[in-house]
Amino acid sequence: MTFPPFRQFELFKFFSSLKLAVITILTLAAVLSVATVLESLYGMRAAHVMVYGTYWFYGVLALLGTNVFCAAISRYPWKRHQTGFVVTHLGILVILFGSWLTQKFGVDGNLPVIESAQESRVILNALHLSIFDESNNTQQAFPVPETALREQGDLLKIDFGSKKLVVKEFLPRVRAIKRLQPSPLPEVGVPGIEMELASSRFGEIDQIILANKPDAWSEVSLGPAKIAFRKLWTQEEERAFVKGASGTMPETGKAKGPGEIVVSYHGQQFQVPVGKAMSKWTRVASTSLEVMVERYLPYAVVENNQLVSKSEQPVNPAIQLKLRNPIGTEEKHTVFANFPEFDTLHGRNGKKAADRLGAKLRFIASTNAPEMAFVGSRQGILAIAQSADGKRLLFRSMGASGDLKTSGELAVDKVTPIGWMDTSVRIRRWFPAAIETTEPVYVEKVAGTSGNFLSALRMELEGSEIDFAGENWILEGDTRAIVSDGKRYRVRFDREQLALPFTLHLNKFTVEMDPGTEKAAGYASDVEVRTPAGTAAATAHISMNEPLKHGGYTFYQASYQLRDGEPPISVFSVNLDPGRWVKYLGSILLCLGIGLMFYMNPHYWNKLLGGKKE
Amino acid sequence: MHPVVASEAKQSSRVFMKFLLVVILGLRALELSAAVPPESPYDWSTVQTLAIQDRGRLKPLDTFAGESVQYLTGKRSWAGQKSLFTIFSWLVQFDKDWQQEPFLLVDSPELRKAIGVDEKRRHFSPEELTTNEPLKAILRDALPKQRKSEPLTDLEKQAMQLQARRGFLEAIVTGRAWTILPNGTSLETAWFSLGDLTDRTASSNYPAERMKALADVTGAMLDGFLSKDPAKWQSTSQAFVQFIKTDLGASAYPSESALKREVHFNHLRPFRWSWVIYLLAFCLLVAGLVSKKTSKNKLLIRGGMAALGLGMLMHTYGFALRCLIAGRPPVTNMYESVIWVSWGCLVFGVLIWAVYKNALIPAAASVFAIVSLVLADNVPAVLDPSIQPLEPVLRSNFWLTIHVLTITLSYAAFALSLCLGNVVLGTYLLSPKNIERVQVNTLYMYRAMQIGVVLLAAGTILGGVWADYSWGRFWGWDPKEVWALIALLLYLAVLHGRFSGWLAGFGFTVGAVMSFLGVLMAWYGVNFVLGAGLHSYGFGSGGTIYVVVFVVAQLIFIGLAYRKYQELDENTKKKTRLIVK
Repeated sequence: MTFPPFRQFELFKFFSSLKLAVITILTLAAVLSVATVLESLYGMRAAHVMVYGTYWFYGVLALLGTNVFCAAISRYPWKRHQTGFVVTHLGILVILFGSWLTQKFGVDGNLPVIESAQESRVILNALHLSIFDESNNTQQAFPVPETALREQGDLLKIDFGSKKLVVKEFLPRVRAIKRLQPSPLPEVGVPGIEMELASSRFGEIDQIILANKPDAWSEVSLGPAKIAFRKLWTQEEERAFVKGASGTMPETGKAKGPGEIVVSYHGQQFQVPVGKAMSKWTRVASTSLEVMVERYLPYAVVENNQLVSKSEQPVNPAIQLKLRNPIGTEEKHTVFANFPEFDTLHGRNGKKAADRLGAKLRFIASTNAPEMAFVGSRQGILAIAQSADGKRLLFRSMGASGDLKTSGELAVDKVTPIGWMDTSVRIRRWFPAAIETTEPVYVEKVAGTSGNFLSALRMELEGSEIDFAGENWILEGDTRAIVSDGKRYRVRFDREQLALPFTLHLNKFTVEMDPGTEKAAGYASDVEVRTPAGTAAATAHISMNEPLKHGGYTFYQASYQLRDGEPPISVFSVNLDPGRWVKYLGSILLCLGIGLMFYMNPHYWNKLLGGKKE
Repeated sequence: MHPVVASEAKQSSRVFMKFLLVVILGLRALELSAAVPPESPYDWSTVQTLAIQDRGRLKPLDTFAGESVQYLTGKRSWAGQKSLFTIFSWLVQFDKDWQQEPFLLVDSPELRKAIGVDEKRRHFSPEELTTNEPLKAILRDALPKQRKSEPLTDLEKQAMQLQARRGFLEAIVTGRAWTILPNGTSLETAWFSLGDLTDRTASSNYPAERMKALADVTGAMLDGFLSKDPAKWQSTSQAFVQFIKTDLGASAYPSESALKREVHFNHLRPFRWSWVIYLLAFCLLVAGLVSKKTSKNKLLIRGGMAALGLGMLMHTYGFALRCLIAGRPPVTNMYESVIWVSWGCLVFGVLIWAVYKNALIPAAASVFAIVSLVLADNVPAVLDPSIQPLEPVLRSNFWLTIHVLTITLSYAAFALSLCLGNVVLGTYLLSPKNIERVQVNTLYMYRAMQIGVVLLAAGTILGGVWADYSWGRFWGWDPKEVWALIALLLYLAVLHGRFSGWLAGFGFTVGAVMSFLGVLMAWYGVNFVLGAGLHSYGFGSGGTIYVVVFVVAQLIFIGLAYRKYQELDENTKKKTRLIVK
């Protein structure tokens, strides 16, 4: 009796034939070479979506496996000289099996952790759109089909009662272009400029800067120079800026605003800088109250029954502000710095004491003239400031050694030389109340570009007139709010995540550079594994090639991000691979087999070919 | 400011003024001098071992000078002068002697055409380029694009490369590239450059008296350089080097022996010697193989093998020196792998020769070694010979060494099988009737292929082990690993094709020769053509023309051999089938 009994079947003969092996091997080689070309054109994800992650590719591998398996058993019973052949082919099968285990049960993702913070969510590869219903705190996720190229049409439909969210377009790779827009709601905007620095040496550099630190400079380093931008609150600050000690730069954080509001609430006192709360609802420290300063009047007088400021000299400083709590009680106050005993509340007569917020307010005006201390810097500095009345842009430019190059006023679309060689500045756009939006630009081919690209979706809300207020594009990692049938939802587009049964706390992240360069020579993270209860379970030093193993997962130091003025982010590659040892076993078998095959009697091939003798 | 510090800073700024004065006076004096000082009498033996911190590594000034001149001019030396002389001359007499001298390399004909200059010239003066409006216009478009990491056109890339050259030249001229001043604390942190001396912040890094001494010796040395007096140059430059090494570098300075070793390596040029000796060996072996007289050919072959051995000694010595200098196995870029693979090809050639005693095998192997080493010696733009620090992920020396050495050794074995395959094709072409010789040569090729298959399979798997160890996954479909797999699959297809009876003798040989294209793609193509993936540390550009020429020549050669093969009768054709004994 022959074994296997189906040896004579034509189908088995076909699957065990050497000719099929040649065809399968060449097919695999051809498919793989096309995949590498696709990867170089469209990036790694695209190659995965188009080839490596597809069912037909698994099919090719399965065909190879079947072929190897049938070829091996068709030679049964094996002769001694066939040992190498059998071991090699068994090795291939074991490797394929191990890969299947990894594919099916493994985890492969990234875990970015900010220094001095902790994280337990591993970012996986699959894209999804998750909808969070704020009314009942429930969340639903919908997988977004990932494509290698731009895809249009009704890609995904999600019902929201009477409305329907439709994904109309998917862009697998986008470059996020920042745009400066006038704020639709003045209270949420901050001064913003879009400027262009031009020189024959470095061409043109565009930059958007928002003055989002009320009392400090927003700074951006643009190669040869540093650009600083802020809003000036008072005439005093303006004078200090224009005068400035020669060769210096207003020091950040030292310039004072008009003063401070002191809120006495439930027996405690809280301070809020006037500049911080200017035209912006600002929380009063740890209370539930919010305050917004509407006007600052350095020299408050009553003229024609109206409170106005007679000049910019802080002779009788006063502020008008609003105070509110979360349930919607709102009060308006006028507070004079020099007359703290005045009752500040407006419309007091019509209100019952119980309806009041019960907070007492004081205004402490800055007594010193605003200080614009200057510090030297090795970089040239172009400092731009929005004037106190919000109608002019003033600038001073300083050389690398701190010498004043030039100063004056900037106007939109006017090219102004700033005294560094042939460098000039042009303000393209300027809004006293601006916001920054992000627009995606499709990157079809990645060849010749660098960096990682995010994906983006274009969504429409059918049955709604408001839609997304023009912001129909959502980038990977972004969230949008929608209101439907009176309920609020949050829509988030990102990669699927996996919550680990523990968290990783990044104690410290360190980078070493190659001597005298900005090139990283090595980087490492000191981490602490914490249980859900918050107790420390383990500590480890993770560096390149020195991973942390915990709870079946392995954490590798993958990459990092250094950020200006913020703690660095360390990115770990997180891996759970139940197929690892199977693949190692298969590898050992394969190498051993090839060695044996070439070592032992090479004639066996000829015998395999049905007794053809040379 | 603390008063003591203030006075110190003041003093050091006075010293700095003096330093500037020395330089400026030097330049003025030069305006009067008539010609470039003659180079030959100057002694560079002291200055060449001055350490410089450049591109993340401490190296002798000799290396820096050679690399700089090579990078800026595309030649090993400019106008026959020592490159050390050239860079000193750039530093001190740039405006007078170099501004109008056409020495900056513009190697792209496309760029030369676009900027409207004489297309036949390859070198242009800094002044010509500074005043070139079309170049400015290209750069104006390219710079913002590069900043936003948008793709550049080829022309823009070439313009940016030229811009990088000009930037580097400026750094040499202004002294910013001369990072030769130890910071007094460590070798790992940033040193100061001569350019930093003109910067108030940096000059206050040294105490005032040291600053003054530094300014004195620097000024004296520059005077010495301009004096045209070899004796004066000798004494002043020695004093300068002495001051830097023993005073500024008292606490931390690279060892003298390491610096001297690298200078020795630069001057010896062992890989050039190797290919010259290999060429001699090849000629002797071929003469021995074709000569009819037995006594004479034995002698010739013995001489050839001896020469081959000598060449391999030199090759090995150079390789060992490079290992010592770099502090790691030198197989992390294209240049180093070419050196290593050509060495491996010869080793396998000698091993197979030891079994079969046929001088044809080492002769074929030496062809590959000669071609590779000649390319490595002469195309530095593609095969960059400079030693550079490793990428962080490569700093796991053990697995890096094992995995990369195994993979590249398999390339060496395949390169040998390629050479021997071409010997087989040549046999078809020259003596098609001599079936025995065809069979024997095919067997040699097959042996080289076997070695390659074992090493490539093992190396690819070891790559998996290393990837698992460093990146956390065994296999990630990275182009470099995929192409190693494709190359392996191609050879496996050829082997299985032979067993299935599809490929007889000639087809088998052609299959083996063509499968080397897979190796070429994995070795060169992924880094230089595809340019994608995690293995991006070895990326480069250029050289495609050499590869294309090789592939076309190979195809033509196969075509010619095929025509001869077609003329054979069926019976003879069958006999070409490989028999493994």
